[in-house]
Amino acid sequence: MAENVVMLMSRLNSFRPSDRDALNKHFRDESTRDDAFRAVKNFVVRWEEADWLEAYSVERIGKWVSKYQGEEVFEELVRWCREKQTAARDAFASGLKKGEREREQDYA
Amino acid sequence: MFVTRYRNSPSQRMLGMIDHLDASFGSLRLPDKVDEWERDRIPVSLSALDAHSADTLRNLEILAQSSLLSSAMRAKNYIWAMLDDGSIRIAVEELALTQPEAPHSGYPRRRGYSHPSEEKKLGHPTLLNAGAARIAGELAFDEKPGEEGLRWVINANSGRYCRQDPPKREQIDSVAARFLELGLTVFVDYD
Repeated sequence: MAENVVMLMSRLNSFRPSDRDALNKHFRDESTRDDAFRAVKNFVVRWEEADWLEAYSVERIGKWVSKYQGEEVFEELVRWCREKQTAARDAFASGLKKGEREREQDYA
Repeated sequence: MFVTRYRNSPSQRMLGMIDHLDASFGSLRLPDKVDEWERDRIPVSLSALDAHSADTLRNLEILAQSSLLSSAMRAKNYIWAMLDDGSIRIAVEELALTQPEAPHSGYPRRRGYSHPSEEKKLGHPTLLNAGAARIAGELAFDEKPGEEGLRWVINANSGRYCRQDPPKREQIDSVAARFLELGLTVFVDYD
């Protein structure tokens, strides 16, 4: 796994403001966006493989992505969630929906 | 005259205080779930947030500016929850390890290293014996934006207590103000 992706997965683990700044920069830069996608997907997949789930932490990441990243990022992750139904992916998709609602409320 | 006396009765004052706490911090709610490894567990580091523990956290912030300690300090997470009377309990986010896996309890869960699924932890319900909380969240060090050093950051992210009915921004601000009253400056993370 690319070093950048591992680093971003660690950022997803702590997910403090400075971690989100780093993720934000990777999503906004076309040359690093794929790393950000891979980090988020790998992070959720690792939860799929575990014998327990901290659903709220996964949901929180989905919500943040949905609120602060562009439509392209949102659509790609919604499509990815639909590929396979698991508890972790459902939690992530739930976060995406919550973030979408909050984004719409902010615009209204 | 009667109205004044009624408003000042102990039961009325109690109701007024409950209304005030409900508005300022949120109404009481039970945890959505308690994981099996959390049942009857209490974090070793469990403490009341008071002037003494706030002073400890303030001193920790001073120590955390040292390169000797900053990385280790940042890796830790603290969890807090507010009880019905407005008091706050706080603990290091500890791993759920028990003997013989670990000779001692109270190992901190590390953030920003490995995947969180590898380490089962003692979550917010263990601060309150699975009882009700008004609001709950995390406290952790994070980098100061645009400058060197770490600062305390608080959030109201508790999957067990705040997922269904997320606190309002003002309620999180009220918790930060409570920390400040006790002597600890914390920055609020609303996300």
